[in-house]
Amino acid sequence: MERVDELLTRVGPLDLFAPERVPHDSLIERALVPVLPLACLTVDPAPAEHASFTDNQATAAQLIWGAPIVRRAAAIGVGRLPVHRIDPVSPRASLLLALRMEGRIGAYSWVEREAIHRHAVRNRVPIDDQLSQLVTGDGGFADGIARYLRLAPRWRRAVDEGAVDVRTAEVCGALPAAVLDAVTGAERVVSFSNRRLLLGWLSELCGRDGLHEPAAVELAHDIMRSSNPVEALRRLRYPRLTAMERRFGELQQRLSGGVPLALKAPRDFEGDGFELQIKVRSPDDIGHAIDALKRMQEHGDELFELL
Amino acid sequence: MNSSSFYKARIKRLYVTSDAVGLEAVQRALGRLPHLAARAVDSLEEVPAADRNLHTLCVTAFRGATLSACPGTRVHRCCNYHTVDLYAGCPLGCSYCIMQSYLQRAPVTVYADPSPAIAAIRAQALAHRHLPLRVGSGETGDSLLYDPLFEITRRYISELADLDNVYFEAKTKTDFVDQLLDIEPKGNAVIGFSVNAPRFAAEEGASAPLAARLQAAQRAARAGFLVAFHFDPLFGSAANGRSGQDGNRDAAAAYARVAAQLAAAVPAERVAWISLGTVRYTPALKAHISRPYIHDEFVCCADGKFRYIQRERVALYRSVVQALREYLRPIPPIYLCMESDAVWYRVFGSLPQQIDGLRTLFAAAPQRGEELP
Repeated sequence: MERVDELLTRVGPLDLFAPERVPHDSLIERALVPVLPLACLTVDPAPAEHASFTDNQATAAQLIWGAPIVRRAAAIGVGRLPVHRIDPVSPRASLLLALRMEGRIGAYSWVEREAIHRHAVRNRVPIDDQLSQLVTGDGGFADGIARYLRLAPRWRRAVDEGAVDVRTAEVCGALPAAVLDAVTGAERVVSFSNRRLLLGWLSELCGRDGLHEPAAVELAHDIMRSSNPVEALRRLRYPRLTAMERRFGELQQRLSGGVPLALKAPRDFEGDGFELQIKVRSPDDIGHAIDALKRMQEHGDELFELL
Repeated sequence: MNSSSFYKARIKRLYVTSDAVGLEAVQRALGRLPHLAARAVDSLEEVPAADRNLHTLCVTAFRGATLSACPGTRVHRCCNYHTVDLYAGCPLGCSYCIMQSYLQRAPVTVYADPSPAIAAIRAQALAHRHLPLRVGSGETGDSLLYDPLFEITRRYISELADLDNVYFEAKTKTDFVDQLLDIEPKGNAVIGFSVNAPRFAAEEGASAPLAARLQAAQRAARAGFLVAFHFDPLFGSAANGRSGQDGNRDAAAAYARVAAQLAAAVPAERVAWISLGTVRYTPALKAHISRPYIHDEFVCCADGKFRYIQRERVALYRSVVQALREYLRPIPPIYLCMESDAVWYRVFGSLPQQIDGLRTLFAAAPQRGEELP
């Protein structure tokens, strides 16, 4: 066991993690917390396998993991916490140990990932596959954080807040920040996936129509004020396709003539035919359906020119 | 397009693996690149990360796979094309190139020993003598961009010339054909040219202008080669700044002019085939394209690739086919690359297996265990 006030002085550069997962106060009060690792950090990145552990080095030891637990313990007046003094470790080994103790593979926020990355760079810890696996659960940590760090500050903030993903921020990064604000700050709340769609289409519309900032911002506000932002923007982004959809809707209504007849077009009119489903409850219904089919036959060209 | 100045400007580093140093093609290329000091490596993994880009040429003997069926595309019609790996990577810089999505940070690799691939082609051709075997070297790189250096295509053509069912195609966006012209016999070798309307030249980076490609086609045809043309990718409306029907009409007219120029350059009877394909992209490729045409209206097709709306593709194909049929007599085989049955029916009224001239081209060799057709 080690005194908490002493441990507070040992919190070092590995204080990387958010305090969300600190154990409940009742557990900290009874010292039912993970044993906190204390160790000296070697300057040489290579592990000091043969270094002897002395009292002198122990006083310079740092808390490798668990700073939020120590801070919480101090805040609620807990005097001592369990520690394990380990042999001096390299910056790499200490970071790997901290990540293993934290045990949140694939669940680190972007702010945390940035902190881990910054710590690694400052301490010359290579971002290799082993480190990457402990952070993201795959080999993509270095690439992902590099992409995140390339984002403009406003887009990075949007990613931190969970408003957009890195991919969307990259693709739409040329959009003025005010457009992003208009979409994320609108009174109308849209789902995450619809926000991605809206930003992507706004970005493409700006590229296609050469919209400058004032026009793009005005468009974004108009869209977000409409009753169905996704539909409204889709009509602008895909004017020909949505016109075909409207045309199909008109034909469907006109040709069915009130008969319960489902005429289905292939998705995006990509295919070789339409599907028909007719429900009949009586011989008369069959007659009405035959009439509707005859109408369709007569106007077949109008229908099939959509494919 | 001048090959010497192109190589001087584009090739900054040269690595050669130990298994390739002694190859005749490699010695020939080294002699033609006096401005470069070749570095010997045991394997391409040794090429430093800093040099893994399109200014680096890596020469090795050959790749594991020697003859592959063109990956084609799920659901859509496949033309039973086969490919061999000659080059992987291309510095021409076409904005629509699929290789941007998977060959980033990779040097251009030359597979300088064609012997295994030639042997595989011969074996396949001899096993199915009654079926044409179309093989191309232009899937992962331009077939002729580096050919004036290595002259590897010469070996493919010469060593396959005796097989009358083999159509070996070297496909290019350059006009680098002169090193091939004196080959005899040529067999059924085909020099294929990707063509596009000059208004879309900006999308094809450092490729040769259309006129230069057509002049090269003319030289190849006059020398006795079969030639092929690939109108791929065809651009529609928004690529030229106009959208909708007006834009499509403009594009169709531009391609009709290409058809006329093509017909003026090359006798129709020397044209082995013409393929058509509209611009298409995978989701991964989209991120690499920042040109205006990407903002046109594309829909996701059954194979997961994005293409123009079906009826607009059909209209564009019909107009180009009509122009080609108008200018080229006899009409060479014209086919669609990676298109659905629905589009085939709307453009040609039938599937390729039902069209004279295409039936045999599209006939697949049987897989192991299958009966011969």
